[in-house]
Amino acid sequence: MPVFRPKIIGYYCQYCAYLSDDNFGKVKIPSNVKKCKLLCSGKLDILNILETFESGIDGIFVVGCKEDECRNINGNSRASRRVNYIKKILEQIGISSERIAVYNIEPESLFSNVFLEASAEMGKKIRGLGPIYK
Amino acid sequence: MRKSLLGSVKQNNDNETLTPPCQGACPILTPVQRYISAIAEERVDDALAINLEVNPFPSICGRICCHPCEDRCRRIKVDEALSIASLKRFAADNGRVRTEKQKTVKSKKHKIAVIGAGPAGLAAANDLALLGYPVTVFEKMPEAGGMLRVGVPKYRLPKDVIQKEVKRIKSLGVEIKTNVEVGKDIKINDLKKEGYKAILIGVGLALSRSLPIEGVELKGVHLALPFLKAVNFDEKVKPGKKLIVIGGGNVAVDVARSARRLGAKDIKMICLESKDEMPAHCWEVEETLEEKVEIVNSLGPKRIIGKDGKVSGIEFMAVKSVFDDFGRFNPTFYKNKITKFECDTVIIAIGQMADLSFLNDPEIKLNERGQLIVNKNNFSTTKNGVFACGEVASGPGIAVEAIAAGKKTAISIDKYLRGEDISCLKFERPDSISELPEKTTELVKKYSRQKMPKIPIKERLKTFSELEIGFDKKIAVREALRCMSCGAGAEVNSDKCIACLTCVRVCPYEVPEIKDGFAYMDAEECQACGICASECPASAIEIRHYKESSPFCDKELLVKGRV
Amino acid sequence: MIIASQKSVREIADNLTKHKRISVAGCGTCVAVCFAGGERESEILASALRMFFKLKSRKVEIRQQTVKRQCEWEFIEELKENIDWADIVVSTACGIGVQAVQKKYLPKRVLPGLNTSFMGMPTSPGVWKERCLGCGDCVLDETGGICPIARCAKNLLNGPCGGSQNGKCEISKDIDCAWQEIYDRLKVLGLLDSMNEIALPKNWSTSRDGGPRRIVREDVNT
Repeated sequence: MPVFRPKIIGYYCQYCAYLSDDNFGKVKIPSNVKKCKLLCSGKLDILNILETFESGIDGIFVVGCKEDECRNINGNSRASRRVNYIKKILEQIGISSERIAVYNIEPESLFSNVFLEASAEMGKKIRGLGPIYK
Repeated sequence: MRKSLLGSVKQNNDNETLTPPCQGACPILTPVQRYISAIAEERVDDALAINLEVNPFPSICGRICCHPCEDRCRRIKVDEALSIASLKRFAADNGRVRTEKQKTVKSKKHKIAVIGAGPAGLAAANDLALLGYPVTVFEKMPEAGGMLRVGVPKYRLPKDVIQKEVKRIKSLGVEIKTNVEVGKDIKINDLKKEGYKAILIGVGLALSRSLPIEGVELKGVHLALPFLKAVNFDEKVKPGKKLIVIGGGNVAVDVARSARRLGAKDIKMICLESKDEMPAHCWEVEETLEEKVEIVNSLGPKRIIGKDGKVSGIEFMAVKSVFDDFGRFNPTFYKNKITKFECDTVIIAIGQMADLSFLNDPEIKLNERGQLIVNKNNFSTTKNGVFACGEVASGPGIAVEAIAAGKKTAISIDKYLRGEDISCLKFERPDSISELPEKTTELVKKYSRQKMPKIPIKERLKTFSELEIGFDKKIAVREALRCMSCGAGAEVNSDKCIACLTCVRVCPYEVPEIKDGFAYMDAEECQACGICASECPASAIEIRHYKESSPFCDKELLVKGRV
Repeated sequence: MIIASQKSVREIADNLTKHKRISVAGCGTCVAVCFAGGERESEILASALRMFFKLKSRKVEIRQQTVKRQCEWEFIEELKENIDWADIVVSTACGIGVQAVQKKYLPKRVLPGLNTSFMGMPTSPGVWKERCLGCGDCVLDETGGICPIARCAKNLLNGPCGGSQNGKCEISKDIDCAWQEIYDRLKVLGLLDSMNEIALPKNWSTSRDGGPRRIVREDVNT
């Protein structure tokens, strides 16, 4: 039986979360995690996320700045609230709300491993849940 | 139709940014935001490629450009300007060149001669080669680079940096003949006979001006450029123990700081101007003072005193005023207020002028002040097929202005050789967005400018190795993220807007307002966070993205060439 | 403005048992402004429905289209192509729009995607409150511009009642007592004396009393 490799998208706020992996790369983000930059986590779009799940992505995580640390004042808290709304819709249609999660980190964490850690944690969680569509 | 599922920023090609002030201030209209956002995403190769599209000298400009872009950066009102030039240097030092993009085909027959391998001449040669012309550059010095090689000290601009850029230009097929002096080794009129269909004069201002005062002929009195040239070409130079540099500009600074590195102990830079009037850049003055060069302001040289044919001292008069009522340079003095200094060396760094002795062609006319007559729009001289650009054509200026002139001249020469009328040629500059409004300034968060690491002051004076170490990746990315993306903000599609006021309520910068019944976002205020776009219940808001091309560097024109 | 909220995706989906082509019709006026049925919200609904059917391995096609207002024949005409294509329509307009679309496109079935609730306004971002009941006989002149019919739980004309506690209504501590508000307002307006006047019984014949209402403007009517 083939091993299930979840398809995951990690949205990240450009001001805090990006883990370097191209020109200087030592650490590689797993190939099943696709990076997606946001101008601010407040740019997270409910419709876009739902359509992403619809397209067969198994899990999504969003990395934004910590409370009160958003460059755009409250973009991060908006993102969290939107994710809660998405969770509600997912539950209504019978999809586990665990498939989406928010990680908040210090804006100073620009080169931290948070994105990588989130990738691993979500990967594990989603593997447990199985593919979004059987 | 389903939309792209993964795009986080909706892209609409009709929907471009307004010109940000940094780009608008750059003589070659470098798309600053594009390369800065590439650095922010660590796409360093892209950042370099974006630079190379418009500028053959990113490594050089990243080091020595006096960055008019930073003067116009809208972050100045919030905290400090972005370190744009240093980010360019970071991209140039760390990015890899995509060679496939730089390949050219020699599709044109007409040979072009460029006299002078300085920034203007090489920039023109670069673009003409990209357009498919065979180009030969004649340079009287043993190495290419012009004033960058001769006049700029190595601690600011190392030799290998120039060589790297020149090599790239050569790889396009540009032939650079060094040690060939036009006028001596080959006559300008012979170039035509040898089949060059267009000639570009880019010889810069190669002569130092002297002073019409007593004692300049004494031993120990030097001119700035021969001194700098000797230093830069590693000739044995002894600047003496007690040195006086006359002048307050950037060349005087270069002389003083070079002399300091050569072991001169007591250096005074003496100039007409007061501290605030000095033409040298403030950061250069600051570094000069750090290096314990004494700057004496508001003194004008009266006479140099000699003993046994050698300099022993110099007398100055106090300055009454430097500029007249019309703002023109016209110094006046208190003739009796004399200050005397002892010294064993004097270096005169009061300005440069063109050496036009090689022009023995009556058709190439000079004006009454002995300067070359050049059309400001198409860069042609009074002789058909002979062009001139850079400092020789427009007087003293900064390197990037010379590069801009070179690029424009390349386009002009191309048009000329294809038989087009260039008499009406004009290079338009776009209007850039204006200052950050007061209200927005208060709302934008502050992030302080990253400092350029330098070699410590103690080691600095023993060496000509580069003073500025350059940004590392972390510094560069942090600095790049300070960019406010001016002009790249939200735009309302009024066909879809339902005037629900959601954007008005969610915007952290209080930008949107209702105008003529629809939401309206002022591009001057918008910070491009994108919050409104994802909240708009009518999906009526989109974010403008960065402009792709610059009018002086029509990508199609320069990369593909025109057949 | 008419305020509505979206039904749960589950409730809507449960009515779409055997349909293969579904048209989701959004409305771009009141319900768009209150985040219930405009372009974005109806697209979100369409996306959620697609996912719901995908999970059930049902092959269902869904199209989404939003028009300016579903309460005008001319605007709903634009929906024709997508509605003709569909087996069933979900309208995310208010009840008025649903009725109009249903009438125009008979015999196609049109289902409501929203629960239409009241006439009101946003009091802070994301919060909408009822302000008018449409009684047909406005009394705002007497009550300092605060409507006791819409905002008092008992529609009292001579309030407050004994259930007014610390400015709140007895039915919920989240509801302000309209008559406390009227009292405070009249004080600001310098009209507190009018509290002493007894309001006479209201003419309810202009309200729902006479069945569905209509207004005719003779000069415009053709």
